[in-house]
Amino acid sequence: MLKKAGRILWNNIKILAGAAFVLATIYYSYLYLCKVFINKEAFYNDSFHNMPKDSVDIIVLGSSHAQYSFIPSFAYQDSGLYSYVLGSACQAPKVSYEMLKEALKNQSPELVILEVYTTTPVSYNCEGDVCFALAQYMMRGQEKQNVINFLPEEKAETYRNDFINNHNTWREMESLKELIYEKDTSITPDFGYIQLDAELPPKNSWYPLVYDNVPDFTLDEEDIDGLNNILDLCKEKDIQLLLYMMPMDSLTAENQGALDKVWQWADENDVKYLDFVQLSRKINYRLQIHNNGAHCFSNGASYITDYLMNFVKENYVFEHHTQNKELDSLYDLYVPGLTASVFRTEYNPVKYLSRLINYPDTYVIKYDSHDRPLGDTLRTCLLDMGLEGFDGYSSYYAIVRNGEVLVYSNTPLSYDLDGHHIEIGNGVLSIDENVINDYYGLSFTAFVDDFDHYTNKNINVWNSWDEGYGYDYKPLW
Amino acid sequence: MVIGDNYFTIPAFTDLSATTIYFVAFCFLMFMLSVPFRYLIRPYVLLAANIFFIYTFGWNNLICLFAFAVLGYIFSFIVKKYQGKKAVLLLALPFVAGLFSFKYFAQTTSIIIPLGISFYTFKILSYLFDIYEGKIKVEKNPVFYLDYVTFFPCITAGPINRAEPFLKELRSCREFEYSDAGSGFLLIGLGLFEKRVFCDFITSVVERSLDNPELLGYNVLFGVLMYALQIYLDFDSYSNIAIGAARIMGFKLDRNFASPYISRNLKEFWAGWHISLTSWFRDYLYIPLGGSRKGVLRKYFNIIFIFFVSALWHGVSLPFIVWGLGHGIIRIIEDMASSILRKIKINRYVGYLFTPILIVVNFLIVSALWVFFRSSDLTSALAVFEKIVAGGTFSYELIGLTHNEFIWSLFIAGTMLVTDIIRKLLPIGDILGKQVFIVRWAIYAVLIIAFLIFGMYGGSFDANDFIYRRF
Repeated sequence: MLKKAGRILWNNIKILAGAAFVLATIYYSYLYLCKVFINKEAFYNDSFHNMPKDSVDIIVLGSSHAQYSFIPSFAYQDSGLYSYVLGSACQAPKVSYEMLKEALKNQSPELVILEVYTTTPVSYNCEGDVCFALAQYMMRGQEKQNVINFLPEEKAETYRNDFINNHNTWREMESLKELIYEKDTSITPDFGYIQLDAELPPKNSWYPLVYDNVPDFTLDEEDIDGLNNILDLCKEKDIQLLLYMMPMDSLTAENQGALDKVWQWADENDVKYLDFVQLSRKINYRLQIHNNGAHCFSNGASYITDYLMNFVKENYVFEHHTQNKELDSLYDLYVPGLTASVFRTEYNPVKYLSRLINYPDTYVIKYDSHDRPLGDTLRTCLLDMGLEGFDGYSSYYAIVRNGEVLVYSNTPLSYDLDGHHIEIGNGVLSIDENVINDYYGLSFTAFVDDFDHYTNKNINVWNSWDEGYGYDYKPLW
Repeated sequence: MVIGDNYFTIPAFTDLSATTIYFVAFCFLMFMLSVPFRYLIRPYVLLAANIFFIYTFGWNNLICLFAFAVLGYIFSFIVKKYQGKKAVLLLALPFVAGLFSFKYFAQTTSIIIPLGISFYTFKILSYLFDIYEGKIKVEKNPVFYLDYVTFFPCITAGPINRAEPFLKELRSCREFEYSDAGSGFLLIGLGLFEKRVFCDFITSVVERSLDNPELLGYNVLFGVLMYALQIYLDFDSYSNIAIGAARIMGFKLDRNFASPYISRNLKEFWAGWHISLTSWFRDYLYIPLGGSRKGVLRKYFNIIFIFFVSALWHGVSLPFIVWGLGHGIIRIIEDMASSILRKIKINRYVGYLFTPILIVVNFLIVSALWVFFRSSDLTSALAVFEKIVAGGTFSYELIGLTHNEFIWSLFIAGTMLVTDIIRKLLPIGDILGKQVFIVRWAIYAVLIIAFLIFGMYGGSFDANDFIYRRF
């Protein structure tokens, strides 16, 4: 009897031990697999968590309009501040609130900039949903679950587990090495910004409609709750809040009514805001040139970022900013490419030249005076650039690198640079005997030496002239 | 009546399809219950479980099953009373008529075939035939009888187990054997793995190949060969799950597949394919018709007849009939050829050399006939052959497979080949089931982890049902 009982006991111990062994093996394997089969896009964007602790000064939250309109690298150039865009398609305030909570786990920004497109009725047709927030960004813990719970249940189920959603990626794996988990500690230097290059040539352009009379609008309760929650969290953490709205097509009077309510909410809560729909004329931001009707092109984003950062510098003080050399170089990394993109599509010479001042690479200036002075605006701009030997009246030919004039002349010049022979003169602009199209020898030409990732060519040229605008775009070699 | 989509509504909760975690949980519950209730109320607990199981697939299925079962129960006494009189065999007609009516109308109307009707009809018939033959006694206890007819592991897709061993085991009240539980759960695990990791993936490959009208030549041939693998994986996996589920409750079902594709001819193939159905036809149709005892012509007629009935059992449609007759005709040709070859004495070792070639040829014949099995009509079946003949180079990318998917499909085919060779030589399931617990449980862990990576599941995947559940 005792022997039998002992045998039963031993069998039960074996079962329990086996079960424990299996469960532990499966559990730890599962945890490991979750890391390997993570959504690669989310992994890519995990760079936010890789930012040094408490390094981010400004967090930008919002929909894709935020992702396309705010360039952290330019913001850094303008102010020396570190910013990061935590946006996603159709990201509603309630999702932004969860994003902010996630961000505050490791960061202590002094300013939160919230883009409010999703509070307007035009966003109700938004095709994306909060899944994008999960697919593209790295939310964790309860915040992630909260965002998933915003989804309809059948959809939520498919987002609850990265591993379950992505285990099929073994089909595309190129090597078994991909099964070995290596934590990526890199920081992606777009800092959440999505670059969208303008179409060439530009289409007809216009300013967004602004309505005198708008219908009364009631904001969605969830949006108000989201705004209140963000504000409360900002107050609790001693963070300033700034709202903004991007210009876009198809904004009706009803949408403006919705925006008015958001601004009313902001006024009531002593929150500052910038309505770029209203500001578009002031900053010369034109739909179809700076914006494809929905999202900002890089040239438009430079307008918005510059304006926002000027506003930020005037209205906010950043007491806890700490300079980080590694971050400085990262924020500088995309500047040449982004600036080149802006150059390529910018029609406004003033805007063009003001960014050229900060251009960290090489550019050529060819100004044929034809015994006629430049217009005041352009002359002022060029004078402000502090170009050595430029007086604003005489012809001026120069090659500039990193803001330093390598060579200049008031008469035609030729110069060898990086193994290329450059000739600049009255009606002449050539590199290695490749003549660059110069519009009828008109007043002003500048070109920028840059590797263009879009065309895989390494030099592009743009002409612009006073009292008008136009484009020429020609890869040289 | 049972039929029609809307007559009875399907319950809101999920059915206990064998691919689901609910089925595994249900089996585990039955395992837990079968231990304490082994001596006392086991048949009653089992019947309740059977009823609940079928109920989850809808009341209509339950009613149909019980209508057939009750009729079989009543008939069993009549058969016993008039045992030996051939006229009593006419009592089989209502079942046969009922079964084939459903089969026929399912092809031509929107009627849904009641779940498992092909399987439990044959179980009832085998029970009645065995009583008629005097092999078994009438089971007077209706609960015991219903336990046999409605036995849930076998109800949806077989195997078609026989009454005698089942009722014997039901009554035997054997002591709990850990090895039975061990090997039973292992079989369930292996079956689920075979289905959700191997079979469902191969199904997706087959669909990409055979359902793409633009593919030709080897790309279609690849799909045809993969379908042969799919149907084997599908049915073998279900049989493993069913046998495993029965075993953990103390019932030993015979294996339903014995490496059928490692066969030199169709005779060997059918000796290893769907053994419970093949043996049913052999015992209750082929042998009573005279088998091979009444001359060559009668033998060939019997073969053709058996395959014709087998085709109708699968479905009353032209492709199934062509499939069945194709097997029958080739089986006769094989028989004729072997008669001739027997007269020419071939060296045994030369015969061994030919074995791999014969296996490959036989596999190709079986695969070609499966095309009819898969097709909804004869035209689409013939179109598959036309596309193969049209030629064209093979490209897995054209089929829509990545390099890894192509390798994985070959790996699955290779794994099945190797395991079938081993299974032909050794009872691998039993051997694994008797391993030390740590080995066995490690196998579970490996299976689950492999399932997590390679399994077909997740939000975007709809699990395929078992092919044989349609019959």
